[in-house]
Amino acid sequence: MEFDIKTAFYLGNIPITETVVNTWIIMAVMIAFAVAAGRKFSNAAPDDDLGTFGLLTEIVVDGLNKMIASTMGEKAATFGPYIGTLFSFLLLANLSGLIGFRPPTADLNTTLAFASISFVLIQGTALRSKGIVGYFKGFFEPLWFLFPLNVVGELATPISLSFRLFGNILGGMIIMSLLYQVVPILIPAPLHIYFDIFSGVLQAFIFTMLTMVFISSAG
Amino acid sequence: MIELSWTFFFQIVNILILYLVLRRYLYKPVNDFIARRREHTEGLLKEANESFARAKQLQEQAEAQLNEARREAQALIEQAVETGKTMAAEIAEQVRAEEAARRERLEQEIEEAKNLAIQELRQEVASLSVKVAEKILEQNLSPQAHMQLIESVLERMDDTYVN
Repeated sequence: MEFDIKTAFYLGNIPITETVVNTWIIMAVMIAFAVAAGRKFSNAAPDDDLGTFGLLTEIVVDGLNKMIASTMGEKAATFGPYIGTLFSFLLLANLSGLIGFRPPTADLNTTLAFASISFVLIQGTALRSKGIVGYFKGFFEPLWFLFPLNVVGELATPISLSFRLFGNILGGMIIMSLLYQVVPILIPAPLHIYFDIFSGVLQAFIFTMLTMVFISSAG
Repeated sequence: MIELSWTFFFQIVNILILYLVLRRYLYKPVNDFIARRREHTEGLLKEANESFARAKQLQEQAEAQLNEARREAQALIEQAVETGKTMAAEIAEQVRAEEAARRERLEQEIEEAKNLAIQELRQEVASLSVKVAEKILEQNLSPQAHMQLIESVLERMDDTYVN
């Protein structure tokens, strides 16, 4: 199948897929940007002129901070940088389809990996705020025999998170590929706006927003 | 298409590395800077507010002092006018008193001179009268009749010269 994930190369006998390589490229871009932008701020005096690039960086970081703070409240200071990283990466990953990349998020391994981290953060927050006894007691509430349902409920979170993102991006990718085979010019362009830009931004936002909401409500 | 592989672990490591790098090189410096600038701005704002309050206070003080000065100046002027009036009255009074005293002294001197003259005249007339009478009568009157005669003459003279 054309939509299968290709293996780029082997590291020993471990296959390194296209997904991982694309992830590394996106990471490299983000790290280059972060280091270049961050350096302007490290030793800047409060009234220094940071230039257009510095100003844009500040707008992006401050905007993310505000969005995170409005959802998570006082937990924003702890989780802010991770949530910000997650959102920025998902955004770039989803949009990378526009320049011909196979989006890393169109691979279940990627979305499940991120959803697993969200799951660990959610459970960790719950454990910390309720204590071990309170945490496990929570699985037997309101009635003891609802325990299996509670466990399934918790496990459903990362699964729904990962499959929602994966499905949307992969679906968009498949539809666009099929469309290119039928009408290769003109028609696909406006549909990129929906499947890559609109859907990509929305799904990145939904994934991060749900992670924030679940972490908040776990605390 | 849907299968779990090594990629899962790679992606966990990747996102964690990305998180650590971004936190260290982007979020920390930018957030520190934002906090630093907020502090700086709040400091400036506070300083500006304090300066404004101080300026307002100084202005009020200056206005109060100006009003006080005006009031004092007005009071001084009024006092000066009052003093001037009093002084003028005193001087006038003094002049009048001196004038009166001088006139009185002059009148007294005139009176004294007149009295002295009358006295001298009276003595002169008395001795003259005696001599005249001696000559006329060619005889000595008794001292009693003599004195009577003189007194009557003098009384008549008083009537004639003094009044």
